[in-house]
Amino acid sequence: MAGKPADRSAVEAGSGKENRMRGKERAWTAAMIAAIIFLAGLAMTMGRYRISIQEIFAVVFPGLMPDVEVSDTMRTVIFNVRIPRVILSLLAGAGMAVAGASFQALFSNPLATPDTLGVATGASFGAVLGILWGLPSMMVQGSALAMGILAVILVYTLSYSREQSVIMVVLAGMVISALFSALVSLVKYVADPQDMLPAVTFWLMGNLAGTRRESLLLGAPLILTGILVIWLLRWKLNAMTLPEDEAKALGIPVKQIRYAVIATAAMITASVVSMCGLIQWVGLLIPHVARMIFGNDNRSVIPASLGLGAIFMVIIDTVARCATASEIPVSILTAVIGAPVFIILLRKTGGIKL
Amino acid sequence: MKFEVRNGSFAYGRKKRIFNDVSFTLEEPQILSVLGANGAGKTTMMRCMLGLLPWSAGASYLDGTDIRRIPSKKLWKTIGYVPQAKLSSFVYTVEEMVVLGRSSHLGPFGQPGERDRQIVEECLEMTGIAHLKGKLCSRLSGGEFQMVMIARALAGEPSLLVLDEPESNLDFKNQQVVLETIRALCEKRGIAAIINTHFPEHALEISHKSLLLFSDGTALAGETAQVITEENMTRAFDINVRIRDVQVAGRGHTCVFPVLNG
Repeated sequence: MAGKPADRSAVEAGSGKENRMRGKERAWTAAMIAAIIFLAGLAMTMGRYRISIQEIFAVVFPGLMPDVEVSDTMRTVIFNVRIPRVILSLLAGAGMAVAGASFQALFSNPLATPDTLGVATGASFGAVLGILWGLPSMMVQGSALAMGILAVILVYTLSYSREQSVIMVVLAGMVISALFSALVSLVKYVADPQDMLPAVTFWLMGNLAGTRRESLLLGAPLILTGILVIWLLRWKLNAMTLPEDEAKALGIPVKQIRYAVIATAAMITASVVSMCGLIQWVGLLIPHVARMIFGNDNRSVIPASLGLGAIFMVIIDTVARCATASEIPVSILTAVIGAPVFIILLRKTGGIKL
Repeated sequence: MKFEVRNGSFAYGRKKRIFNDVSFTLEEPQILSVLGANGAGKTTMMRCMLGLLPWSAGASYLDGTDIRRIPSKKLWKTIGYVPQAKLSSFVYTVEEMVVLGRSSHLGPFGQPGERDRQIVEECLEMTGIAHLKGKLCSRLSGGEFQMVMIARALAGEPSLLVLDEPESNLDFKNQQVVLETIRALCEKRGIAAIINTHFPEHALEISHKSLLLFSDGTALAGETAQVITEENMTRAFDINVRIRDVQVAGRGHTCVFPVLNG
């Protein structure tokens, strides 16, 4: 088959196009990495305490710029506040976008979000309960993480059967989500409206203000591991969007991959929510932006969601902390900034490819 | 490769028996057609035979081994399944779709590489859709999309191709294109095929063996010419069926048609 001259010319013509495709992807990858580095650096200079880019270099790489003077305050601000916060915003954006993209593929539904199975709602309940009881911040984070994981375990248990189908999983997720959402309302109802309720409400709208190195040390490895697993499974996600029989007949271990992706996406979501509160929209919007640019192949959608999510979130968080004297909740900005960006893209590209 | 079903039976729950005690054998490069009225269980039969639905009794065997005991990856390297063509919510290009057929050859974290791409290229050539490579599946005609599904199954390099009504919903010309492709594949690559079909003429035209499902749950398997007879067809489809040979331009064709009020 392969040896015939006619075939070979067709193969060569095809590979020319292939190379162009790869070129496009390489260019995007380079652009995204450059954008992340540039924006992360820029974000570190911005804030109440002004720090120049030279001073950041001098602090981060001591000895590189011997003529720039740095103070201890500067060092503290950079290492204890700015760097953890910028890293968290990058991780949170990348994590939510990747988790959203993987759920959309897994449930073969463009409307799926990282909270489709109630993980984010579960984690929120854990956090607001911790705030209500006046627990220290690390305990609040731990309680959020635990409740998020508990939510996904409940979904597993409810939907478990020999002939388990994806619809059962989604329905169980909706039930668990509704349950935890009611519990969150209950906490808000009983919270002291003078001092507790504002804290709870602020937390529910998402913010990265509480970022510290210790909280990042607990959450970041979970997010990074989760992203890595989904990254490795990205091509398999294409097969997961097919009807179950079809995927099985391609030799895909459908159940195992479904469990693995749900567990990892839940781990990412619970960790992000435990550190930053509820961050909405990113998990829904960013994967669609990625699809508008690269098509539906998850081999591109996952890396693109990762990059775009990180870029989007670092911008949002910088605006959140610098635009006004007090912090603006992140979920307000993701919608206010995200919606117009999304609509412009929708108009320009003609939407996702159907 | 030898594919066998021994005493296969299936029932939904306890009462609703779909078919009972079905047996047949198929070897390369034979083609087997499965015929039966709507609701006789053609698709159910196909899913049972491939282990996608558990038999109530009996089993399928590949080279004498019960397929339930064959690891799924190994099984799907041998069998290529072409389901009824349906688009999913996320639409892929022809190439992205066909390369999925390589899944059974790649590890859990594997990605298709250069060799896989070449095999995809060959499968696209073989099914005559190489020029559609970069197109979205949703922009294809029914006949073209069917070819994509066949190419995807071929990309797994199977020795048995199982097709669920591959030529339904297609016009005359495309029906012939699909049938000819299947026949050519079986002859050139020496693979076997099982086809669900609504067209007895197609069974007569390309298949060596046929399996006829009756609505009472019994089934008849054997040489196509012995299975597709006026008597059997009348019984299976509950309408009078006549079979006639017609000569067109010196070539014989067999027509199978229902006779109303006959």
